[in-house]
Amino acid sequence: MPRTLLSIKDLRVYYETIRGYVKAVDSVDLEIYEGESFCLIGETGCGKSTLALAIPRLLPPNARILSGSIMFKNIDLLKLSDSELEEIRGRDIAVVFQNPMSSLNPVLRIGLQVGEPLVAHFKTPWREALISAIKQLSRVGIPDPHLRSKDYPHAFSGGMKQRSMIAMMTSCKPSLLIADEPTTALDVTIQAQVLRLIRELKEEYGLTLLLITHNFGIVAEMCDRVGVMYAGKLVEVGNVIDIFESPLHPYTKGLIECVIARRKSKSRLSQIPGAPPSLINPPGGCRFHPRCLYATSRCTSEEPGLIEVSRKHIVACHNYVR
Amino acid sequence: MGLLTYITKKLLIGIPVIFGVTIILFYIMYILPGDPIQLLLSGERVTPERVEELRRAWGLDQPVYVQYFYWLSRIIRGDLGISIVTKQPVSLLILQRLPYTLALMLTSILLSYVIGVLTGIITALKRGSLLDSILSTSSIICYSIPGFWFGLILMLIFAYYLRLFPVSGYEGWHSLILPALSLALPSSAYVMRLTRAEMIEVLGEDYIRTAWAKGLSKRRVLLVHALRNAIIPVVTMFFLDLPWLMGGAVVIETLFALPGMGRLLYVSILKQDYPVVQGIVLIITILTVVCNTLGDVVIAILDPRIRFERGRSV
Ligand SMILES: Nc1ncnc2c1ncn2[C@@H]1O[C@H](COP(=O)(O)OP(=O)(O)OP(=O)(O)O)[C@@H](O)[C@H]1O
Ligand SMILES: [Mg+2]
Repeated sequence: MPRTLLSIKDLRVYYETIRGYVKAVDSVDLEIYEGESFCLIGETGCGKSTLALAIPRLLPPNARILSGSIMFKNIDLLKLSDSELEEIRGRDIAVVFQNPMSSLNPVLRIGLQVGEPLVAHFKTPWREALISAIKQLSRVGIPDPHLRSKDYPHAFSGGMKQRSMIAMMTSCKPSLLIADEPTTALDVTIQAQVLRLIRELKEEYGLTLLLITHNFGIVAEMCDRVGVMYAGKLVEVGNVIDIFESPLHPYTKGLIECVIARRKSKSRLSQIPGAPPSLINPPGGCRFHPRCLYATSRCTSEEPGLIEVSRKHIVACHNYVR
Repeated sequence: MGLLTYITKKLLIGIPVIFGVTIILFYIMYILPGDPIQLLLSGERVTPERVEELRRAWGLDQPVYVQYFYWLSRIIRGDLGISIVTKQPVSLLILQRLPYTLALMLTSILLSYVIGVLTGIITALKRGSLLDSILSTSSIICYSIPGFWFGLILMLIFAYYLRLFPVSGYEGWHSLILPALSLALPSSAYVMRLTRAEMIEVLGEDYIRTAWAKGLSKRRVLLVHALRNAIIPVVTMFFLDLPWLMGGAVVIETLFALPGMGRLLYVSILKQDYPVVQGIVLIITILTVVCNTLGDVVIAILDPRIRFERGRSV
């Protein structure tokens, strides 16, 4: 039985906007086990980043956490004070963001930025922290790390910036690394290298990985388990093999059929009919019912709960009974 | 490109700019109505031979460019000519007044930037609070009131009623406080608004989220990661503002009867004392060029991107 590292219960995160509340994450339950790679997948705007950033409490100011708990190593992260959070961020929970171009401070040297967490968390003297930063940069594959650590971010390519981000975020050897679409902004050729780097570091440091993506190829390559999100809800969770070979939720089935159809015909036309709903006024009942081929009258009125259909394979759909 | 090369380049560019300015200044003086000899003689009656002799002695019979080089070489030697009104050397007149004006300008610009940056940071961090509304509103008021009116009010309250400061004239450093404040307040309002806007923008940047994600203290995120970026446009403004303050000094020095260069300029314009006006304008232009160059250099130190971009394009 694997040990639970992170346990999210009934988490609701809404964004306050002038048009009303955006229900970006609505009553999500999720467990992540120590040492695994967990992938969160779903269409754009379904709330993946919101869910991930809620964990280290890095949400934008208009986000409201309305309910829930996020237990990390038996601490509820939602109950921590700012200074307690400071201690955990970057040390136990680290985040690599989607856009490396804007995620590094333009006026500070790379070496300083990479070494900074060591100074903040372990009171390491700056001299030593800078030496560690150079080692760390060399570990993530920056050439001439001695010289390049004195560069400013503008002198780095996108791939090198993301590598530096990874170096910075893993410098304290955190237990949980959250990577929010870490390769989306990069060239296709570099994407594979950066993913390989993340996988290597995960093994080397024994990290637990929460990876966000909307690319099934990346899921297959990187992950042990997958969570599928749709319109602010977690609709299916299971092992990679189960999800690919016997998807349960009609939405997951649709996604995977699209991938296969695309592979075969090389066309980009195949997709699930209909559009994702507005998160301000999402459809009642099951949020997927307007686009669902199997929807019944029950689906329009009653919200499905998560059911464990087979071992460790959970789905939120009325078409399944325990 | 290294920082040093960049700075050297900037300094070298400053020199031709100053030369260009002297040409323009000389030309303006050259086309100005009135015969310099007649001005020098100020109505004295002399024979035409004597006038011719003086003309030759002053080099006024030479072509324009020769005259320009004569004039330039005199200026380089520190000879700015003789005041028509007082018959004293212009350089002496300016040197006597310059310290007061520099003291006034420096005090007021430091005051305005210290007040402006501090309130700007506070209002940005406490955005939407009561304090923010109060400071933001009063900054609009301060910004829309002209400096001389401020000067009058301050003079009335602190010098006339409360008798804390002298009403006018120079009686020691405390005579500079009210004039410096009247110059500083409108500009500090502007600095505050700029700092606040920059700070708010920077706080929403991705790299600030990164800084939080690393687990840095609030202090370090705000002062090192945010302020370091937000301050760059403010520093640019500082160096652009510095020479511009001279304009304000003319009015304020006149109002408070301070014996500074601004007042000298004002009086000289009234009395059509061209050599003095010209000397002061020259000083102000050199000051402007120096400030701009200095500003470029400081910005290049603060913002590595600038060095990089220019380094590529040049
Ligand atoms: N600061 C915000 N204010 C209001 N609405 C927001 C804010 N941030 C995100 N949203 C909305 O919340 C929903 C979820 O956003 P989120 O960024 O979590 O989606 P995502 O699944 O990460 O999408 P992507 O794949 O594009 O990154 C979206 O509908 C988005 O428009
Ligand atoms: Mg996202």
